[in-house]
Amino acid sequence: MSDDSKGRVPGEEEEAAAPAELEAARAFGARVDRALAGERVSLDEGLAAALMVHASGHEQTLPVDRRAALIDEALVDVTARSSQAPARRRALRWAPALALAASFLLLLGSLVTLVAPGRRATTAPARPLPSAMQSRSSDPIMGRPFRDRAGASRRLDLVYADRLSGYRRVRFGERSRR
Amino acid sequence: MSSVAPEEMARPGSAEVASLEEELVRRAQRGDREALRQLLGQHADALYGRVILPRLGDPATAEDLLKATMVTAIEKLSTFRWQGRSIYFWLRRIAVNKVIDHHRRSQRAQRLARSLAQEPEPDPDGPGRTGPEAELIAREERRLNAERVKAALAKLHPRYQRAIELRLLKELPREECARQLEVTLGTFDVVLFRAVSAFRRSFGAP
Repeated sequence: MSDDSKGRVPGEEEEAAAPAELEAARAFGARVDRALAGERVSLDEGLAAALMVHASGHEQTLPVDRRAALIDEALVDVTARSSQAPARRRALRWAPALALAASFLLLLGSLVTLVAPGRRATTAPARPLPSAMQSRSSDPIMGRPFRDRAGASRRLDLVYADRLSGYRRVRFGERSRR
Repeated sequence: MSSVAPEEMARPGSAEVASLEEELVRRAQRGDREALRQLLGQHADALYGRVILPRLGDPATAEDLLKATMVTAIEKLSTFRWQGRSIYFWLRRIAVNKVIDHHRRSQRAQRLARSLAQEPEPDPDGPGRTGPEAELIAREERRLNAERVKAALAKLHPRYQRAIELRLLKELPREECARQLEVTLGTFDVVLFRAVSAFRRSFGAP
């Protein structure tokens, strides 16, 4: 707030205040005055911090009637909550038991399936489907593969593998040389 | 069972008071609303003035959190087990948690919430071990509150520390603060304004 004639850089605490800051500081000082005098002042974060410091050094008490009112309000809130949600509380009370029962049934089902594999064997064998519902062989339509072309797919695989190997050599071999 | 006035309950150093409080707790746990009212009334001021407000600053929010503390206490009272020390410590824990939750909800007060969560509690084996020795507990709370602020103030420029001490801790009028700092009133306002901003940054307050 004063010029420094010793040539060093002034800290924030020494910088001159701009008119806007002067105005804000004056308003802040006045609000601190009112808050410390016990008035209810609208709080911003700065004033809340100031009052936090103040409350750390000066113990505040609630007026007796306000204290009693807060206790009454708390009692009323608890009563209202407990009367509003009895069904929910009942559901919550049974929820662990229900979850346990469901888990038990699942476990029991799994055990029965695992321990009694013979049950599946004792079931009657499936009857063959009528021929009209079965898939037909393609042989009568297309004929059987010719014997001399029987290995064609294997040859195709070999050709494809050879091409892929060549492609990899060209593509990645070049990149690795760069 | 005759009712006991809060101020009588708060008289320090009395084993009789401890047993009275224990009896109050038992009655309240059995659903005696008058006992509950007395129990909460006995500790409401301490929770508000020594625990909640010094960690919050805002009196209206502090009242809300005190009420929330009492609601939680009433709802969970059946879980409280008397272990030879005042129920104050149990209520205090609830209140501190409410304050921490409040700060956590504000993005800018996360650091304050974390530091409050790490704060030491009054020694459970110290004051209050054998009863609600209100004066000893109060002294311990004041010490904790003063230390918290002192640690944050120590990081500030000495001029800022002095401005905060004079105006907010010693409660001197602004004019007197300005006189002691040998500046004009307008300059003092600016110093205090900047000091509180610096304190907020140091303290982690929003």
